[in-house]
Amino acid sequence: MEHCKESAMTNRERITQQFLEHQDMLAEYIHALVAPSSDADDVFQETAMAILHKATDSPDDPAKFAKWARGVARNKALRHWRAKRNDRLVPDTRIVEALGMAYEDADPDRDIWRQRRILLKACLNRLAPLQRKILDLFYAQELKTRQISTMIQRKDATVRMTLRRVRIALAECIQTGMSPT
Amino acid sequence: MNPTDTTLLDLLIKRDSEGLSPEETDWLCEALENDPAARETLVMHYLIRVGTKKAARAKAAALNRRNRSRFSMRAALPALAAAAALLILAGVWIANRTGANGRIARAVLILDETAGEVQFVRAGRPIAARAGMRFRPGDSVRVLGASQATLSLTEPTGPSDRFLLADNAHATWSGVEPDLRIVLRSGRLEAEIEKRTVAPPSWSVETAHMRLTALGTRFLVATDTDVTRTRVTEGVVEMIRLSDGKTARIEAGHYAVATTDHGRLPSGPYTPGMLIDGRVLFRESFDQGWRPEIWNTFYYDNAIGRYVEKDLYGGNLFVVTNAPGSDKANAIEIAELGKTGNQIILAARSGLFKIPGALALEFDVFQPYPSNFTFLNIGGTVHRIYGNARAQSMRNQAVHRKEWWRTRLEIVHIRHADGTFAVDNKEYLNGDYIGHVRHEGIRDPNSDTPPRYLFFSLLSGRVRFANIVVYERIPLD
Repeated sequence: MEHCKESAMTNRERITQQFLEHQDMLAEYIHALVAPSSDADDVFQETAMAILHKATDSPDDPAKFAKWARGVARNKALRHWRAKRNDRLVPDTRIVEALGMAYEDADPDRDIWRQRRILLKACLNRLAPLQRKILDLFYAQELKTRQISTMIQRKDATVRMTLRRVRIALAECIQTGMSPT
Repeated sequence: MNPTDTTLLDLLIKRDSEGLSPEETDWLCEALENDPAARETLVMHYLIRVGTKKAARAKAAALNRRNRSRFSMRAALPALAAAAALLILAGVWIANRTGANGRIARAVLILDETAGEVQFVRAGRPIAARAGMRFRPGDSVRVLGASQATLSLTEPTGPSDRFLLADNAHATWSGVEPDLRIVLRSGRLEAEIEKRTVAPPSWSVETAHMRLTALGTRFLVATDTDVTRTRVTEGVVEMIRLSDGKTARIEAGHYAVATTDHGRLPSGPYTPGMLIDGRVLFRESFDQGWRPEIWNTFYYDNAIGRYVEKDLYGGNLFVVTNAPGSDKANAIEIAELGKTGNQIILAARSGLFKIPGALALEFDVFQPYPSNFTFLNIGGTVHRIYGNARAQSMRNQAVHRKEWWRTRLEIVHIRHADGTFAVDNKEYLNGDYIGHVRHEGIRDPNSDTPPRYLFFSLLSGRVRFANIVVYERIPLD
């Protein structure tokens, strides 16, 4: 009995550690699956709870954890869509599969993606104030480009173009930071 | 827009902003299925999206903490320097001790504000509470009488959670292992837990009867020796009843009750009528598991928002449907107009109650003209609980009330072991308990079913009804 308790604790610790390692990837995957972003946060939290409660169901092989955790997230997202009963929010199976494929590709390069996340913080600080503002309004406050254009008194097309340029600049900044000097 | 003219990036930005058309979705799928570079672009896109959001939240949380800081940084510099040195040492120790959970261990619970008489209890000794005190595991706070205290949890890079303690609350901080936990021994706690995108994902509030695991959410818990009640205003809370380990998921707009009893977990949506200023209006109902019933009517006229009049002389039966949507400005008005004996069903069930059955009805009532009506309850063929003017607790409403009154009628049907019945009736007016009567041994040989309808018989005059809510009770035992 005591032994079972101990192994359950070990399981819990192991899964907590694995979850902490993969939580950023999971959050990103869920944001790719679920809109709006506030709903994605809810699904992430429910996924986190489910993963931590399913210590005994998780794969022993750490390499399989990411895929398993995405499976849990996908199920939580499905439940969320059903609860919402909003067809517009429900992506078709094809896109869900395609998203899964994209994240599976990224799994072997986990360390590279982790490094990219760290670099992103530095890259964000290099943006011009207006660029940062537009990015924050779009991603953090979840305003539509039309709303942002009204707020900053620019054209909608300008906001879209800025977002696109900022995104390219951030991707380049991250790539540059990754390249050996 | 032809999707082939645009870049994948534009498409992803559009997907986040307004969604994609089916053609655009097809194009995206094709790109992702066939092109590894497109897949990498997508992963990078959501990395940037979530990373930007997290950075903005961390910035806002830091700003929030700075704004809430209550002491002068300049005056506190020497003390801060010493504290920083200690914290670094403690941090190294905690990081070594807790490994991946080191960040969790650096979460600090602070007594933010106090109003009135508040005691801080450390190692069993009460000491004067002052704002800014930091909790150690095992420390408690007591608020006495109408006093209040606010606690907040801050993490170095995470969100700030807030708790309000009131109604003689006594709460103990358990610390950060296995999760962030407050034990509420008595009184009321209102929690505002921010959403997290980092571990630890959960908070727990534990009472003698339940443990609530909270994600990003707002909820209220009130406990005493017999019962704990909770209601959730935002997000989701997972509840475990400690007496038997049963769990329930309490969503926004729902409440739940736990006692030391086993049986079904009473939980369900609450309605504005049940709560006034966050307090439970019919506390007894809440504790006993009354929950709003799905409105269920099945025949005769709709009577929402309009004046109901029948040409036939007397004996007409009206069933009020969709009444929960009726407010005082859109009340149901029913006139007798000389056609004595019209009956209006306000609540009805199509199926039979399981015994013991219970039905309650709440409504606002107004009499623009003198009128005379009686509430009746029918089960089976005819199971009359209340007679007309001779009714004992359910009084004949012959009073001319020219203002709105919130009325609640409760009927609980009990079957004794010997097969006889009893019916408990209670009546409340504007939240005040008016009376209770038990009718023993009432049994119609043709009907041993509990109450199925609550209706009133309009003898004369005109009556308006609004905000009608029907409740059923989930037995606690």
